[in-house]
This record gives sequence, structure tokens and C-alpha cells, in this order.
Amino acid sequence: MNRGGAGRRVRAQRWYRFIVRLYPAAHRRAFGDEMVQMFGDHYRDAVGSGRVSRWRFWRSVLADAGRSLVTEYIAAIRAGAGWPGRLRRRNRRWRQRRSAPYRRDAVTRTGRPGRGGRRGRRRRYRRPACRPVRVVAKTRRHRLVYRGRFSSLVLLAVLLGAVLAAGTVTGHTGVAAIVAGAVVLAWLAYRIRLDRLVPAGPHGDGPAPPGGASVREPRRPLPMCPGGSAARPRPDQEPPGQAVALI
Amino acid sequence: MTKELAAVPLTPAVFHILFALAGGDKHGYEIARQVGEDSLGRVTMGTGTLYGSIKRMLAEALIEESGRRPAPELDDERRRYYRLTEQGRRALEAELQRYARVVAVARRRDLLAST
Repeated sequence: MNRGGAGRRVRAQRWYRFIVRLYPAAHRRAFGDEMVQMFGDHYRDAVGSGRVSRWRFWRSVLADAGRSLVTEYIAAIRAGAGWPGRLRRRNRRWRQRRSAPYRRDAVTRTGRPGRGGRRGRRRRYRRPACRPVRVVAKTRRHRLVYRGRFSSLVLLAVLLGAVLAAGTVTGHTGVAAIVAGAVVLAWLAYRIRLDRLVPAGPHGDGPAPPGGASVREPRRPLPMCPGGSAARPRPDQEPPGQAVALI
Repeated sequence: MTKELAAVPLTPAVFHILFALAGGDKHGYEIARQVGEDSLGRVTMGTGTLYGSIKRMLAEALIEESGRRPAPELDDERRRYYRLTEQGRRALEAELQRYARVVAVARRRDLLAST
């Protein structure tokens, strides 16, 4: 390879080093240097010898990187390593905190708190999965909220990147763009909600309930008078000052 | 089912890497070139795929880092060489036997033109 070719190879390796930085840290530390070196060898043999055009070479490299990035991140999430693992652990702690009050007084299916279920095993009440809500935009009467986790947003971005990269590699850019658009629309329909805000007050922003009454307290028994009939002794009993129990 | 057979069938990438390493210790790029030669150019293994597979195979003890290195004039210290473990060799044999059984059945049913 001539001097210009060597310079191109060094530049290409520098670009590839950027791609390697996208891999999970553990993978990058273990194999990053080797990957860059192998890339350099591959570049020299493929592009430097004129066997493959630079465009075609980079296309295959990007396709391979896109595929393996997704695979490595999924593996990292499963193994609980690096930031994907930290994110997963944090989400798990968050869920545990949310369901902690329910877990303290566990309720069985039979409705008896704190008792074992079938075969004497303690069946804990599991709160249905809840999604955190983040306000995206807010007006006086409405607010747009995102119901989901940040990690799933990152996964969506990776998925879209993979779809677009695959479309670019295979030459079906239009189809990939349509698929990516459909994924985004489906995601928005599933995760974004428009909430109507109700002013604080006894009746919300609707009409008052029939009868015009405001909040009505439930009927309560009248308090027993300390000097009432219960405390009053019968004439044939002890004089006042000693309590009498009525059965 | 024994532990070695539990890993069969292997993924194509793992199979090709084991197959390439059956010929001797190799570093990453040599493995990729050997895979291309063995598959008559039909399989090209990119850097990301290769090292992802190597990582998983190291974890499953199918391959290991080799201590032997070539002559210093041919060697690059930054390279790492890999070799098959006994478990990797057994997994490769089990996979090849599985292929052989499939080919035998295909021959019996005249699904495969005899060469």
C-alpha cells in the first residue's frame, strides 16, 4: 500500500475507533484494541488491494456494527453489566419501592392478609405493572404525558437506528423509512396520552350534583351524653359516682 | 443428554469459528479469513460479529486464549491467539455428526444429488 493508502487506513481506523466506543464498556475494554487492529488489517486487504470499493467496505462494516451493537447491548442488559445493567437495577429498585406498602401487609387470594395460600405458601400481592408518567407539554386545561421508562426510549432509538441502517445497507431506504415511521407512530399511540385537567373544587368543572348539596357527611351516631341514661343509676342502686354497666 | 451435546446445534458464527480453529491457533483476523476460505467466500464475518462470538465462546469455555505465539518476526504483541478447548472440540464433533446424520437421511430420501 502506498503512503496515501496508509494514511487513508489510519483515518479509517480512527473512524472505526469511534464506532468501537459505542460498544458496552466491558466489551470495549476486552476487545476494543483487537477490533481496531483487525479492522485495519481488513481495510488493507480489501480496500488497499483494490478488491473492494471503499463504499462497499464501509457499508458492510456499518451493517455488522449495527447488528453486533444491538446484540452486545442486549447481552449487557441480561448480564446486568455496565450502564444498561445499572439502569435495569435502578428500575427494579424503583418498582420495589413503589410496591413496598402493598407487600408489607400481604394479601392472599382468599382475601386474608398475611396468611399462606395454597400448600401453605405465602402468596404475595403483586401490584399491577405501573408506568412512570412524565409530562411532555402542558397547557391550562390539558397536558401531554409520556407513560414509560427512559430505557425503553433508548431501546426504541436503537431499534430505529438498526432499521434505518439495515435499509441503507440493503438499498431499501424508502421501505426502512416507512417501517421506522410506522414504529414511531405506534410507539406514540401507545406511550403518549393527552390528559384533561380538572380544576380543583368540590364539583370539578362539571355541574353541581342533584339537590344542590355540597359534600355531605355520612350520618354518625350521636355521642352519648356523659350524664345520660347510661350513666344514671336506677333508684334501687348505688348513689351516683359509681358506674353501672347495662347489659 | 450430556453437557457437550446440550450446546448443539451451534449458531453459524460459533460453528464457523470452531471449524476455523480446528486447524490450529489463530488470531481474530486469521479466523475471519479462514471462515471466508472454508465457506468459499459465502460467509464473511465482520469484526463486531467475530468478537461478540469470541466473547461468548470464551465464557462458555469452547475456546481459550493460546499461550503459544509465532516467531517474533511474524508476531504482533497486540494480537491475541485463540485455540479450541476440549469442550469446544467435542461440541464441533457433535455438530459435524449431526450434519452427517442429516446428510445421510437426505441421501436416503433422494433429496440430495450424489456428488
